[in-house]
Amino acid sequence: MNTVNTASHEVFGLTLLRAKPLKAIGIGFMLLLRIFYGLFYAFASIDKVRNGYAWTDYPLQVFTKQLAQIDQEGIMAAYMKGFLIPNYQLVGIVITVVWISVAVGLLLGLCTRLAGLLAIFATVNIGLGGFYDASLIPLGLIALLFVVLPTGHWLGLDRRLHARHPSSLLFR
Amino acid sequence: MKSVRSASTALSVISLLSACARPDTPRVEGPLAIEIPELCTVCVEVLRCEGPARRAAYVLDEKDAWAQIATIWDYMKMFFAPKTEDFRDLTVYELAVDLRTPLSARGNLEVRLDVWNRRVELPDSIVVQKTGEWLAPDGAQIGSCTILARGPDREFKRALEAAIAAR
Repeated sequence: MNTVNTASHEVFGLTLLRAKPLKAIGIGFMLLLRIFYGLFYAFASIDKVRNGYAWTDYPLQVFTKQLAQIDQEGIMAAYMKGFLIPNYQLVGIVITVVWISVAVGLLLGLCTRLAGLLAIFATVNIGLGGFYDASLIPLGLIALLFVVLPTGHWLGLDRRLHARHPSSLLFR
Repeated sequence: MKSVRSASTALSVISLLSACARPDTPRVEGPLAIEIPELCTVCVEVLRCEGPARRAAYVLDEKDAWAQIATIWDYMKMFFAPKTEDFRDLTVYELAVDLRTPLSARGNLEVRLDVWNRRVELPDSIVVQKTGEWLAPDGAQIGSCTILARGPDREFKRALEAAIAAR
């Protein structure tokens, strides 16, 4: 039988800070990064909802405007012309759902690793969607940390949900 | 459920704050004769300006990698207060009457984009983005400007650089 040790990851707090200060500082930094990242996606989600990204032609306007700004022969233009623009309604819905999921996941520490994976997916698609610049590199790398590290167990709902559903991959 | 409460409180406070910190005057809206996407960090913009006494090309460079990374913070700030300005590296070329041949070049300059009032504040002049007017710092008319399209802008920039380097 597969048993899961739910107490394998530390809980962030004063007890940890007193016992292992360096580790606590590292964990605290990662948690701050997670909250910052979550807020980044929360702001972007609110903006998307305000602009009706999922139910108007706003994404079409954004993609068309951005297409005019990039190299027409490049891979980003091909991706925009071949996929994003023809499917802008579906893409608008997916973007809105993914952005909100990342925000909720990272802010609450809920399905945190999955939220990190979605953030990587979002980052790659921002780049392919013609918005590539160097800022996407740290954004992608930070998202990778949320996949690799148990930040939802340090602080968040994952720890409690993992104890309740130990076989579920979502709360690992 | 402590984390749910904390997160919702934080978002409520942030939403309230976002209503503040706006400039007093209304933002100048398009259509603009000179369209410069202030959030595009990898765009090169070339303004070609012409007047009876002077012709010049203003080349606004793309941002370097660190400046591009710093825009993550810009995006965060935009939720609380709209972006009102941006700064870009600039090279100024004085042009001959054919509007293609550079007579001289001045680099390592900086331009301020007044995003709210839609003005390009150059070291020696101002371009009104709504109309394309090219004004002296005292407001006197010098001439008018156009912005080169994507593609031709980089080609023109390369041609100017090559012509200056060939001297």
